[in-house]
Amino acid sequence: MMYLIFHSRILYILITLIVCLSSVHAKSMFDSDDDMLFDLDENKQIKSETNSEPHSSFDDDPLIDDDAVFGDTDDFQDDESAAKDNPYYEQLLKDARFTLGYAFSNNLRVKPSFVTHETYLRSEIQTLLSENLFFQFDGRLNYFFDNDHRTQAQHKSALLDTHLREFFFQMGFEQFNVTLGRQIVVWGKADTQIITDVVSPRDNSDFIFIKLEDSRFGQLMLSSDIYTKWGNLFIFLSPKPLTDQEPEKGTQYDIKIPGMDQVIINNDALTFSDTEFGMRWQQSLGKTELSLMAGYFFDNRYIYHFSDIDFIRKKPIFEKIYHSYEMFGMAASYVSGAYLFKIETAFKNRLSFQKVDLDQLDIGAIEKDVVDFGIGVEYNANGRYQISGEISNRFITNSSEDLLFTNKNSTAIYTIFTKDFFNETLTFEYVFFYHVQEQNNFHQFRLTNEITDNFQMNVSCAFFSIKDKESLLWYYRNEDRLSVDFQYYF
Amino acid sequence: MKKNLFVTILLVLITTTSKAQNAKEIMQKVIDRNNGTTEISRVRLSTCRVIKEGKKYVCADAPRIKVLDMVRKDYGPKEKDHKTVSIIIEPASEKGIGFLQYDYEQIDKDTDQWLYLSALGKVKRIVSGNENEPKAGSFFGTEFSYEDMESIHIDDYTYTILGSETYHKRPCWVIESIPGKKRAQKSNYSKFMDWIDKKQYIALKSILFNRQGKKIKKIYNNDIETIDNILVPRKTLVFNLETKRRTYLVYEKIAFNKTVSDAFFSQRTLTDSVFRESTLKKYQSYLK
Repeated sequence: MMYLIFHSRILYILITLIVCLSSVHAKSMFDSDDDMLFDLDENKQIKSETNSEPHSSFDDDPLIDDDAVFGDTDDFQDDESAAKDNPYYEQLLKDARFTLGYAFSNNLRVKPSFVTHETYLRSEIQTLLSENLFFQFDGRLNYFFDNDHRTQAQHKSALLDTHLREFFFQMGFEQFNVTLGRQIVVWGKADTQIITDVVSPRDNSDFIFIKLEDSRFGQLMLSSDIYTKWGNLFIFLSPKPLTDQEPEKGTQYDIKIPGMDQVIINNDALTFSDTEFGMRWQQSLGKTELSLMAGYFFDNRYIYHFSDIDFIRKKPIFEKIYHSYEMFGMAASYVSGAYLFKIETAFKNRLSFQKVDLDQLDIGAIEKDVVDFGIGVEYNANGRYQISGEISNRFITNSSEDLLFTNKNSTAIYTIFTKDFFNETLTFEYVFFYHVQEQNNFHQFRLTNEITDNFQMNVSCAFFSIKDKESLLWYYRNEDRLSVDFQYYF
Repeated sequence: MKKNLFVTILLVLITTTSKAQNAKEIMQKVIDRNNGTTEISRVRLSTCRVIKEGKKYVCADAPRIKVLDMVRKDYGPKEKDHKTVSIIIEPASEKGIGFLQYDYEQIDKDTDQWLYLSALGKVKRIVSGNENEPKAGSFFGTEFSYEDMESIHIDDYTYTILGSETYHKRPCWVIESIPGKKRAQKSNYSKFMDWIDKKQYIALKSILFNRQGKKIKKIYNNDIETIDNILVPRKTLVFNLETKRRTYLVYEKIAFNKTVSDAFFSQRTLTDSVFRESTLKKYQSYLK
């Protein structure tokens, strides 16, 4: 018994000693290096809560140099009062984002020379004008240097160009909104192929080297999103729709088809009587997303039509005409663990293709019914990297023998590999494209480096391997390119 | 002597069992601590590599700053399912990017995530990754991993009270949490040590050990305030001992238990600009 009591006393003394020692030195028994001191990188001042209830602030923590943390400044109050006092344009500026960019590219195969060389200022404004009125603007001012292919095509020393991507007003209501103005509409699930994403035209003036997010541009539209428990419905009407912007004559990516310099080409732009309209219904059901689309469109690609002969210049006259078609489409995705499965299909009724019968001097459009189909999968290796693959096919239901540059089946495979480094400040992307029937392919490597929060550098390299002389890509077989783009956001 | 030994072993066993039960009860209280049914906040995330200058760690380079507007609402009988909308305000290069996320209490139910890229004008479903292996990658490029931000399921871990000590004048339990076999399979961590405030049941400090058992991160909760009757650390610091980088998560403004519409936690918020901006403006008027 005495033995037990003696040992209990020793234990008690030992515990008391440990507790006393730990109090004196304020050191943790469990964390030997708990004396870390951190400096706040910014003197952000946190408002002290002024509720009636007393605080439980442990603000005596020495881990952070907190001398400046509690003060009289009240950020939120400042913001609010500033917003009230500020003139309207200051609020606009607050809601604006500007991008100052400098970009150049070099052809890697023919001879080291500039292809593009430009600087630009992009302005994006997204602001709430009143409780239920929103305004969005996205415009860009480009300055092309003398060695840019677009400047050289016009034989000028410099070129100034403006580009309005979006300009619209949106009115909000309880269950729907109404948008009027120049707007971009994105449909479908496929990231690479155009299957149902046919509403907004694209800028192809710089071939494939314009990033997808920059290539779309808006067109005049009246649209509405209606939100119901049975899904979301989007309807639109676009008078005088715009079409894809093709490379200007004489520029690097203008296709020089033999004999085309011997003809006169007139543009037949769409008018206000050429109205596009369509609708999309979409619903999210757990892990599945489903959307159905239908519409009447004008093809963003033109078809050459022989119209007449200019007897004075002794040249045939061709007109570029944009033809209409109807589309019914479906897109769906399903997510399971590390995988996202995507499927997208569209039936295009009366889609026009280029027909060339030189014997009969019959150059014009021929209508075909088309089924576009795509299937894809994305895999996320738990944040280490991402890989995605898409395979798409265009099937012309009628005969395709009389078509130019077009196979009955046109199958393409896309693979994208993405990996982030250094806390997502450096991103590497590899894109591989392969056209099955033509056996053409290209590889693209892209590095995006966020040098600071607002300063970004993009470097990309594209290499083409074009084997099919009958394909359109044959004209781009020597267009391997290194592109560099610096962007400063403010 | 044999009898004494038996009593001693029995006492040790009873004490250990009782301690383990207590540890779990404490952690249950930590998990169940009221965090409000809704939360509206503006969060600033600041990350940098640090170097030691004298006794202090200071940023070696310009910190990377991300500012987000976040709105959360809890669902389910125990309010353990969460729906969250996050919109990036800063940096300018990422302004307008939005996230919609549904987290579920049910262990085998994957998180649902959608990303809205304003530049693409498209909502993308995000693949969260394989649930049976640890997730790499960081939360918005910070030193917080996605796992650090996840809700804890009490039964995923076994808990032991290592002892008690005063941490910055606050009496604390030091509790060790070890993931069970299933959790360990998908966790980046093999062990946690948490300093739990005895009065408020809030972790003041945590040490995270990697899968090799090495200390990898320290997380400190600071400036703990009661806002709308909810205890909230307005400043959380995570220090990665391996990369020597640190992130501050600062609640610049925050409000709890305000009325937040269910409709806000839908894809409409990501794509319908007028709905998002006007609703957010209304919610932000609650912020303190």
